[in-house]
Amino acid sequence: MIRHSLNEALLNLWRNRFMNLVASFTIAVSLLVLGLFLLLAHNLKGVVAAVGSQVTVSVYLRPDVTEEQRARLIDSLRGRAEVESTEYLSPQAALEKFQRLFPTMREVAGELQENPLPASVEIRMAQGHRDPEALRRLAEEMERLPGVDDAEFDLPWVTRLQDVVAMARTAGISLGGVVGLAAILTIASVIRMTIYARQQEIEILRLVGATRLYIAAPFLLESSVLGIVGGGLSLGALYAIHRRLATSQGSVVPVLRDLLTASFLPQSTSILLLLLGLTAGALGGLLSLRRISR
Amino acid sequence: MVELYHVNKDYGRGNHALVDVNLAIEKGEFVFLTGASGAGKTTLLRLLFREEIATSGKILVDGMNVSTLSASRVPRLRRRLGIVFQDFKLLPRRTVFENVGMVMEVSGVPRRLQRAKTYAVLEMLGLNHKVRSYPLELSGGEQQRVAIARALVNEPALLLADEPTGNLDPKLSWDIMTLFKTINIRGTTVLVATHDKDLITRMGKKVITLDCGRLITH
Repeated sequence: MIRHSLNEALLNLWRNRFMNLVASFTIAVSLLVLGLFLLLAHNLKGVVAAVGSQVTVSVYLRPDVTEEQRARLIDSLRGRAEVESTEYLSPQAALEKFQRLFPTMREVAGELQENPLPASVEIRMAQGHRDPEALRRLAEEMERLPGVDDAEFDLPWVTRLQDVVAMARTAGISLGGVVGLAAILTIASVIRMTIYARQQEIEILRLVGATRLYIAAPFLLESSVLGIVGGGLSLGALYAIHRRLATSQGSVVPVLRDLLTASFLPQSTSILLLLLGLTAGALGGLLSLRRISR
Repeated sequence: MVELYHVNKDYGRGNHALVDVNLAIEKGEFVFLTGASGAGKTTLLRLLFREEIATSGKILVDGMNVSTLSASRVPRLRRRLGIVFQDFKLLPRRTVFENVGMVMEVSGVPRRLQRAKTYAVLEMLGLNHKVRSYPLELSGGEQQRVAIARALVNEPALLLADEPTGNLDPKLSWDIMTLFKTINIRGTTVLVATHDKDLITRMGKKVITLDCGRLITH
């Protein structure tokens, strides 16, 4: 029975090859739109993470801080969930960094007798702990330690970042949901068309005594194949666009282009796209058959 | 084999296709169903293979209560029947061979046996040279014969034929009837709906007549 269904499905895919090709292309187009969206979201996530990794608490040490105090401070941060990394900047290193960041101020620094900059420990916050509350808590804790003069972080910037991330996430999910739904509906209606075209065949099979399962199995296989082929085509097209944009100088808006070319979809998402095609195809087939065999 | 008790079929708005039909066809009988166009012949046949459901009354086919049959058991009923449709109902994208083999395919008959039976029945109907042709490449008469072949190939318990000789010349029509007679002798109950009076007379079999949905007693 399985072999028959498979055989029938393959034969029918070939028999109606033109219509099936058109159906696959239509499916591919709607999945491509979804894929582009997912690619954008994926790279945006990367950007957010990169920016987010700059969320730091700067702990400024007193001039008279001892080695031991400094060591104790850094030790206390080791292995903590909220800390991604720590970096100690000696006054000299701080001066060099300052000069690097503000080249025009170099002369000013040169005129000073002493280095006014303090030593500091830059604490990069780990993902999930980049909210103002976490920063505030850590800063307060650091300030209580001996040898610490002051602990600061850029609250307005962090708050703004948080807002942007939250907004992007909401927009992403809702937009993604809409696009995904559109893709599924498109696939379902395309599949329905292919099955309606075979209505006569279904009717005759019923009249000679074929069971519902016997009739349905090849159709479901066919529609699943169409879905997966559509998915494959969309992935191929997506990759081609990705590569093309990466190598072209083009007039595409730079931000958009970066968001499409930074990296390609992770394997899991690619597979998800294929599975979506397959599932939507199978579901579309199932629903269409039910309407016909009524 | 076939029993109808007070069967009515209404299509609403005063359209009474069948009115209080009572009839019984014994196993092994050969019966002609006749009447003017629109008298209800096709409707009656459709009730027998559950393409329509009677508005009221009881229908028994080969022991099965057709009216109360669940949808999932209908295929089983149909596999025991051989049906020749007035409009052939052949699959245009399948060859003659595949069209005829469909019933057996659906019943799970082994491939090799399917082949043998298909060739045998096509030979009986003089179509073995058209085995690989597609229905659209055949004449009306040839298509009709393919439809008949499909109905016969699985040696059904009951053969229902709706105007099986409509497109055939007298000689071929007679050959088909002879074929039906042979099948009948072998045990298949045969019910043929037709308004070919000559054929009916020549065959000399039992006749049931419908007039405006009612059975006429001779």
